[in-house]
Amino acid sequence: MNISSASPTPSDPVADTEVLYRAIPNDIRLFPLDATVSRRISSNAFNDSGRRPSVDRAVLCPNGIVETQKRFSPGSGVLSVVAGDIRQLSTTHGGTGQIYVADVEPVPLAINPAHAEIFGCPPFDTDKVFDRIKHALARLAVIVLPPDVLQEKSGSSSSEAGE
Amino acid sequence: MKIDINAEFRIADQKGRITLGSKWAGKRFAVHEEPNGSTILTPVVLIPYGEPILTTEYLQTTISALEALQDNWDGRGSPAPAHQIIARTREVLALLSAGALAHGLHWASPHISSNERGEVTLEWWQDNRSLTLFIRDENQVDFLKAWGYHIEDDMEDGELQTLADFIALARWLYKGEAL
Repeated sequence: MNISSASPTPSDPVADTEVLYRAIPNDIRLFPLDATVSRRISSNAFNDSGRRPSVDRAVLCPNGIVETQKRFSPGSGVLSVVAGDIRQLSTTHGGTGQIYVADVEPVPLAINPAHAEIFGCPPFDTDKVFDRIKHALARLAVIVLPPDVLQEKSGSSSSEAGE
Repeated sequence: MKIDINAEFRIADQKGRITLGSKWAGKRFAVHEEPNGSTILTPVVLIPYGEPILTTEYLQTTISALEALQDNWDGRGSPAPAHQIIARTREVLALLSAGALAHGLHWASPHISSNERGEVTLEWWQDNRSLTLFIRDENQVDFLKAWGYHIEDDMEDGELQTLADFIALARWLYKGEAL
């Protein structure tokens, strides 16, 4: 009889149904207000100089979103996005016709076995393609743990929302 | 009464009332009567009471915040915006604000941030629509408009080359006009 584990190992592929956490700094620059004074998520929440934004696999975070928050910085917040939604993202480069597909793969670290990265196939090699990917990620993501800066403002203007 | 205006017009009736061309429809004018009896009409822009306008104080606060950014400000290794890009941002803000007001469009101060390349981003949201401008360097400003997360079907990008480009984008954002 085969007995499958409910929890994958850090090197197992990321399933479509997996929830991913993205830590965000405690900085109001990442949360623009829309015309109705609701908070949105800026695409800059997915800034990454290597064009491979880091995420944590929720299924490998036994202590939940607090693990992701504590690993990043004090007061930071956490976004969540579903792996299957990321894999539906694709775009075509206007000049070359190259089709880019977004994916997520495990990149476990010694200090963070839950670590994974969002990447492009082929790699996102132009600014405009990565800009679009970041915008899509920001629209897919939801705030599951507001950073301190939003909690301080919640009494006056915020109704935290993703897409 | 003579009318001194750089526009085509015609006398509408015997009382001397005039009709201006359709391009002046909806415009408002300041009226100035000269000692010689002529009247000068000057097109003016009326700023609605309470409409936020770009002030020196706002610009100073905004630019100071950008100048205060350090490398790795977001914990993701992003560089701080270069001095030249910040200076360009100040110019772009002033130009776009003046352009929007001159065309009678709503001006909302954008959400200002920076990306992993040290470019300054100006971001506006209206319902499900978002408009982002990228101050990439001293000579290039790009735009990305989005109305969903489908990268092919719900987004469009390009370079902002003229003020008219921004006016068209602002109309799309706030009035739902197609580009």
